Amino acid sequence: MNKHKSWYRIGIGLSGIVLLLAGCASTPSLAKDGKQEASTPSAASQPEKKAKTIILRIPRVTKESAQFPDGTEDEYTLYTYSPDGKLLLKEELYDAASKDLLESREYHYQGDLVIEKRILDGQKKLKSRRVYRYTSGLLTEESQFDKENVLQARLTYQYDAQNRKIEWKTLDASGSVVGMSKYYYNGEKAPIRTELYGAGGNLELVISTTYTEGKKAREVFATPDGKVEKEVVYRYDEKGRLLGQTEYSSTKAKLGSVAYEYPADASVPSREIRLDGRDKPRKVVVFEYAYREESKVIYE
Amino acid sequence: MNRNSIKKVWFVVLAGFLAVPVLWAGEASEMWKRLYQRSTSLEQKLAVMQNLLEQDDPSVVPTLIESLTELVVGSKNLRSSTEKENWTQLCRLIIQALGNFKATESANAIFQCFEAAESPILKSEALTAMGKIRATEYTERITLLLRDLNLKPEGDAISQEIVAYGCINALEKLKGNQAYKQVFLASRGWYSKRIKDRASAALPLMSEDPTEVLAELLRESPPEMKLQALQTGLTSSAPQEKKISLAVLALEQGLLEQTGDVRQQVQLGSLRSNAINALINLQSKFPASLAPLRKVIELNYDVNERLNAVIALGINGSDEATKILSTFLDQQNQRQLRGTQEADNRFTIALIRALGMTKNPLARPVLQAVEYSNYTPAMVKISKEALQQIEQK
Repeated sequence: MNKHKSWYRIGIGLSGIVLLLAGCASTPSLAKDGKQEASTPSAASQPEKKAKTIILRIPRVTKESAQFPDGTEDEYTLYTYSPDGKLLLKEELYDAASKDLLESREYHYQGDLVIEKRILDGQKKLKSRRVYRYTSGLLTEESQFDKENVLQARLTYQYDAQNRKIEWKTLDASGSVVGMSKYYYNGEKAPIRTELYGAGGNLELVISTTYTEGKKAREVFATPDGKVEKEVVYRYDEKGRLLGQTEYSSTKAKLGSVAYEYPADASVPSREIRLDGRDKPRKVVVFEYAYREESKVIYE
Repeated sequence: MNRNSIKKVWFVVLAGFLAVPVLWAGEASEMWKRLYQRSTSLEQKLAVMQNLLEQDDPSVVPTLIESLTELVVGSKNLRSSTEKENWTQLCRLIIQALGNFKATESANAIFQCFEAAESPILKSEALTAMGKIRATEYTERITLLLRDLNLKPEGDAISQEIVAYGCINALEKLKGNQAYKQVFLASRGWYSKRIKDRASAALPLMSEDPTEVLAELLRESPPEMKLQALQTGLTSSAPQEKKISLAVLALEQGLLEQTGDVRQQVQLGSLRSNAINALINLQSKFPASLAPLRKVIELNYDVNERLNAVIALGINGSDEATKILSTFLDQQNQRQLRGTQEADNRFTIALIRALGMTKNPLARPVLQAVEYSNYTPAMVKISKEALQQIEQK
């Protein structure tokens, strides 16, 4: 269980963005649907366009199994969603052999936005919690509390007029800035340059990101004077699915990599294989999904 | 959706977008790494480490090893109980992460932490992680540690249990015959049910064919453990012939040991019965099983045990097995002719049926003799049915 995967999965639930579309060609009678007329030009005004009802199949991870390269299961995580399948409510990490609960995470929402995450130990005792605040639907502050409910840190985020994140500050419990990241864009939705600053406001690291056809292709981590510390290269298949990422040292030595495997007709991976610098598999993660369906009318 | 409006269904794959699975936020890891390095107190380090590990970024492994090594070096300087608690929590966090990353190169650092730790929970966590990273070079050390714990040394039993739990977790993944033996002994050891259950659950995962170790245990253990060794072997994924060999050995052991202790007599009886049942269920045709089965019939400790031994010989069906059964039926026939009738004729019936089961022509003469041995018509009928089985071969 980790932050990015969690947000990613919540994202799956919330966004309604879909990978597989099961569509249904509609009969003209569908044009009687008032909703369509309200939101789109009517069939009468655009007779050449046909209305189609498509079914969106929206995936959500239901189980994630961490395995040894020989296939032995080490741990697994079960995901629980709201009845409509849209909101991730709980993650539970279990030891595969003993079936003991090791850790769980609970998510609380206001509307569709996570406002609190509670991290619990195997005995369901609170380990820590995170409280999230939003402005115009954008995450602007995360407060982190320990098990005694004592504030540990605050993370604040700022955005530009296009809702792109431009700054992330980390503040300690007393409110002092202990670290800051600044993000720079060049027409992209994702940053091309990220600068990491220390507590005194000194620039410590610059991450330069390049994109190919809108996809992250390479990240170079370098000191302010340009000395490369490491590099990460991403690769995709012809469908645009991420196939893997490889990390290289400053001397171009391979440090490690991750490969993703997909079923032929899916855009979410069935397996993630983590390899060491010598391409020896270290860990395999197997994903299981459930799908919910949403219908949508489109015109073509 | 108006289902009636659907005329056809088609599938479209949308490239990209959510197709991107998990991209580690490199800058977040870098930020937390730097914050960790700048943190001065253990409390700060603990808070930052939680954030760093949430990134699930394997590239942080070298940082984690370095941090753990530094913590171990600094363990001597801990003063307050709060510092000790934070140190323990921080070590646990790092060790768990190294285990989850399957960071084999962290074995030495984790083991050093195990040795430096006072907390049994941290020790147990470190051992568990050694299994997760498959630190096979430490299998022997962990096996010896569990062996010592199994012997219940002096000290706090609860702490010992917690450490034993970690050993079992580790050895389950590290495997090996000696490791299997110690986990088996732990499953029958002095520990609480939770630990014993954990050890029992680990056994099937440790070896597909543990019969070699179990045979060793059958030879050298007390009767109660012999039975458990047999049962463990029979429920394992070992090949059938290995299970049969184990059952034969168990039967021999059940006959070998004699004791005046009633409780042990019961346990040995149970061992023999279980072994014979296994030979029946596994349809054993092993020649090695014949001598102990014959002995079971001769010693006649228990009627059910004896009857099952007869069935096992029938299933064996070899010439030698048929000769043994024929010898016993011939004795019964002679007794019957002499008029020494037995109140319970189950043994004779079992012999006749077992001889039929062999479908071995060598059984014919003794079965034919039943008709002329002054048995009841019902018994003669059973012998004729047995003869028919042989003819049908």
